[in-house]
Amino acid sequence: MPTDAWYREIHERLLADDATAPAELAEVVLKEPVLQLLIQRLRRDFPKLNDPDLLYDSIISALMNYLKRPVQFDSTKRSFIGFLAMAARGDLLNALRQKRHWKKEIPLEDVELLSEAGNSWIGEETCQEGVDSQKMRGEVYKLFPELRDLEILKLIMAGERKTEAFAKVLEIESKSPEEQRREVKRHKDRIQKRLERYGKVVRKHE
Amino acid sequence: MGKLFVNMNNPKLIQRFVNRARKDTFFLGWALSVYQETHSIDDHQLAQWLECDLNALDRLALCRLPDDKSGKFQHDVKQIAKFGPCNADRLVQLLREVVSISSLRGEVLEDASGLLMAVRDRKPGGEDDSGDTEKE
Repeated sequence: MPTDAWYREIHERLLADDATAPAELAEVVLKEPVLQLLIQRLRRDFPKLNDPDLLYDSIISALMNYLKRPVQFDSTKRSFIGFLAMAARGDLLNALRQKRHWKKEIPLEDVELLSEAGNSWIGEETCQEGVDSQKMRGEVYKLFPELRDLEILKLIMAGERKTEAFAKVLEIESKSPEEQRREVKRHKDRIQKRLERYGKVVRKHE
Repeated sequence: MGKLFVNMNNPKLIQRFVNRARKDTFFLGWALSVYQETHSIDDHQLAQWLECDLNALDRLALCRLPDDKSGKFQHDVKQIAKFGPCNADRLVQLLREVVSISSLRGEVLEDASGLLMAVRDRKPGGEDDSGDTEKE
C-alpha cells in the first residue's frame, strides 16, 4: 500500500506537470489494494449498486479529473483515497441520475446481473469473446422491460428459492401461501420461457 | 443480494483507462492514437516502431502529453521514454508529426492549466526553445 508520503510526492509532481506522474498514479490506483479500498468505500455509500461498469467508470472519471486538475486536492483536509472516493461518489451520483433520466422505468442501479453461486457477474469477465457487456445488458432490458420482471430475474440468478422473496417483489404477500406459490411459479415460468426463446434466437444467429 | 463482485486485478480496468486516455488530449495516448490513425497501424505495429512492448505502450498512453512549446519538452520525452520504456527519438518524431497533423486539422489541445489552445499556435518544426532530442 502506498504511503501518504508517496501520494504527496506524486501530487507535487502532478502540480509541476510531471510527464509520468499520471501513469504512475493510475497504475497504483487501478490495482489492488487501493482499488479495493475505493470500491469498499463506494459500496458503503451505494449498497444497492450492482453495476460494476458504473462503479469502475466513476473511479476512472474521478482519477482522470484529478490528474488533469490536481489543484483540487488539498492534502491537509483529507487523505488522497478519501478525496478520490468522494470524487468518484459524485461521478457515480451523476451517472445514476443520467441513467434514471434515460431509463425512468428501470433504475439500472437496482439491476443485478450476477450469479452469487458462481461468484461472478455477467460482464466483461464472463462474457464470451466479442460479446459486449453493455450490449448484453441492453438485450436483457429489452427482453424484460418491466422492473418487476428484472427483479424476479435477479432473484432467480441469485439462486433464491423461497416463495416469500418472489412474493415480496410481486406484492402478493397478502394472498394465501398456496396462491403465492402458484403466482410465483407462473411468473418464473414465463421469465424462463422468455429466456429460452431468446437463447434459441441467439444460438440461431451464431 | 446487493453484493457486487469485482476482479481487483482486472487488467481490463487499466485498459479501460487507457482507452479513455487515448481520446483525451491531456494524455500521450491521444497522440499515439492520432499517429496510428494517420499511418493505419495497429498497436503491435506502433509498439514495434517505438521499440517497446504492448504493456509499455499502455504505460506511455497514460503519461501526460508533453508540450513541445515548453522548455522541458526534451526532458519530458526522455523521462517518458525511460518510463515506458521506448525509443526516445522515435517518440519525439511521433510527437512532432502529431502536432503537425493536428495543426493542419486546426485541432485544439488542453494546456497544463486546463485552458484550450490551438495546436496551430505551436511550432511543429522543432524550431522552438525546447531543445530537440533528434539533434543528439
